[in-house]
Amino acid sequence: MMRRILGVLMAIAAFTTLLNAQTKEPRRGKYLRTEIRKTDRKEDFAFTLVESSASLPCFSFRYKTILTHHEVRIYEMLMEVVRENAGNPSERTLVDYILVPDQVFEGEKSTREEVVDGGPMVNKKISFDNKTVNTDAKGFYFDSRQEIVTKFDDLRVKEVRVVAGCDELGVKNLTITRNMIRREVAKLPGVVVEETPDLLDAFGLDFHQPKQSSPDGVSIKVTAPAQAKAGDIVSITVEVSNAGPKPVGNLLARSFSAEGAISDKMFYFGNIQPGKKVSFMRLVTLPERAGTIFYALGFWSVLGPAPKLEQQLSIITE
Amino acid sequence: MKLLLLIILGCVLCHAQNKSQGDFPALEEYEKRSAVLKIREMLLNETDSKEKRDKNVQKIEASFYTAQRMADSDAQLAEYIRIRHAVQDVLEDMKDSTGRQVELSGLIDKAMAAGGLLPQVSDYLVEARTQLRGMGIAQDNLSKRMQGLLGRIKVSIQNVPPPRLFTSRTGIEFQLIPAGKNAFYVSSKPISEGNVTLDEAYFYARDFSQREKAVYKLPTMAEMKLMNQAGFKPICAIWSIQPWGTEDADVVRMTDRFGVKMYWIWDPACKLGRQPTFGELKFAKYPALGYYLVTSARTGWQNRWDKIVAEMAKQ
Repeated sequence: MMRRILGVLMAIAAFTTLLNAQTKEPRRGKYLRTEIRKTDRKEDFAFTLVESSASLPCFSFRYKTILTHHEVRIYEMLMEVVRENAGNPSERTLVDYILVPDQVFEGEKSTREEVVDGGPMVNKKISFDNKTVNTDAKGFYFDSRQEIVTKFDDLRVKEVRVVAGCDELGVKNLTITRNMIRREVAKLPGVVVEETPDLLDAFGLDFHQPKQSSPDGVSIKVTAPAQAKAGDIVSITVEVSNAGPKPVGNLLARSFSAEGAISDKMFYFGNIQPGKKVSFMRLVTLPERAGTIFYALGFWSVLGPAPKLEQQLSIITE
Repeated sequence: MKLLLLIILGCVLCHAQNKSQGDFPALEEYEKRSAVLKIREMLLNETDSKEKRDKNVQKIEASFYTAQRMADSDAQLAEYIRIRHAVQDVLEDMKDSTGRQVELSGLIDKAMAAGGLLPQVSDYLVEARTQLRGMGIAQDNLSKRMQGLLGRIKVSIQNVPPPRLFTSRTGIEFQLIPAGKNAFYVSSKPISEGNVTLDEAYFYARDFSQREKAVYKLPTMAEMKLMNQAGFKPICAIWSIQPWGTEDADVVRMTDRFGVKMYWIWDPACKLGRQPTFGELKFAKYPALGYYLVTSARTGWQNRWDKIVAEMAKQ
């Protein structure tokens, strides 16, 4: 009786051992692919400062679609099989991994964003710096009143944050710098440095630090109305020509007047190579009163000798 | 005949030699008496002169004390000038007197050295010398007193306040802006009431100074503040010679960088439609922007002095 019971128990134990050897945890094998399980779609937009040549900052608005892919990495599935060395317990136990056919192992889950350009925001009503404006047929918005340029009239201001948005797509920020002394930055291979848009760059002006600078041979031509209606918006264009033998470097001008509306306006020219000319235009809203407004333009070469180019001007308002 | 003439000439020469050797006592006595008489006369003159001078000095000192209490500055200044001349005359007189006294002293010495004087004459000469010495000492003291008085007159002249108004040589009236040591004059009317640039005003002031032989200029902001405090209100906005500046160092740096200077304008009636004070470019020209000229208190003072001295010279 006892032998029979012992025999049954041994048979159960042997069967259990065999069963264990066959039902081990599945293991991850070779990476096969990444599968997208779900994709979330979000409509968005982006805007940035783009190059313009009319002294008016130009912003490009474009639709964006942000696709958020929920992904999982797929691997081969392996099964662990223990090969018992039953006859000689002193020897090492060996494990075999057997590929399980038609089954895969799901590994790490992750999400990945993909931004898809949706084209220009054509004729779209947007809020730009707390004002409602419309983009044009190419998705551009021109700061036609030079409000961004005006923010930089204070020379202490190094950068300006612009906020734009539209009702259904939310709000975006853009930081614009104004760098009057640019230096060459060493480019490291493989390192992409995202540059903040620069106002002077966007105007196509060269404000790199010049090796030599001389105001000799520089001449100024100011185009501005001598007479205008009170309250009108008038433009003052200053054209600087360099007939000298050397470039004039990092050239700026600024208006001075007792009349606040016309005073403290910056004009940017940058480096002007010999034989070249650069012009810059500013818009000015004249005060609502008749009389003569006197104003002067002073010039400053940021790193060079001070040019004596003061212009004495006036506008008669009616 | 020639021989006779030679003999006569020899006799004359011998007579002359004997005369010098005291061979004529009567003549000698006469000369001594004359010298003493001259000494006596000179001494009497000196004594008279001293008495007159002392009386004059008393009058001068009394006049000085009276002048100090005079209310009319012009009259006071004229009186000081007169007294100063009188003191200078006294000093000049004393200088002459000293010369005479030295001469007199020499005569006394000579007379005493000659000897052969009667005792009473000799005593008189000793007495005269003593009197002369006393006169000299008194004169020294008086000279010091007069020098002191001259100093006090000078201080008093300097302390005479400048006139409230004066008219320049070219007929422009200036009025005093009282401010203690910082007092100055401003033209009673604007030199120009408008349509004038700062450069034009500046060059006019420069030419005017050359014509007047005194410094006239455009006012600074500090002077404009004093004018305001004194209740002086210009009838138009006026230029200042002082470059415009604010407390904001960045703004000041900006004007320096770009090489454009602005200048203060004082427009108390806001005729230019801005604030009572603001900065303006020097080439600006408005119908209501003119200028006044200012000059130091010394100019008005000197102007009055010159006029008083000229009037006294005429008299």
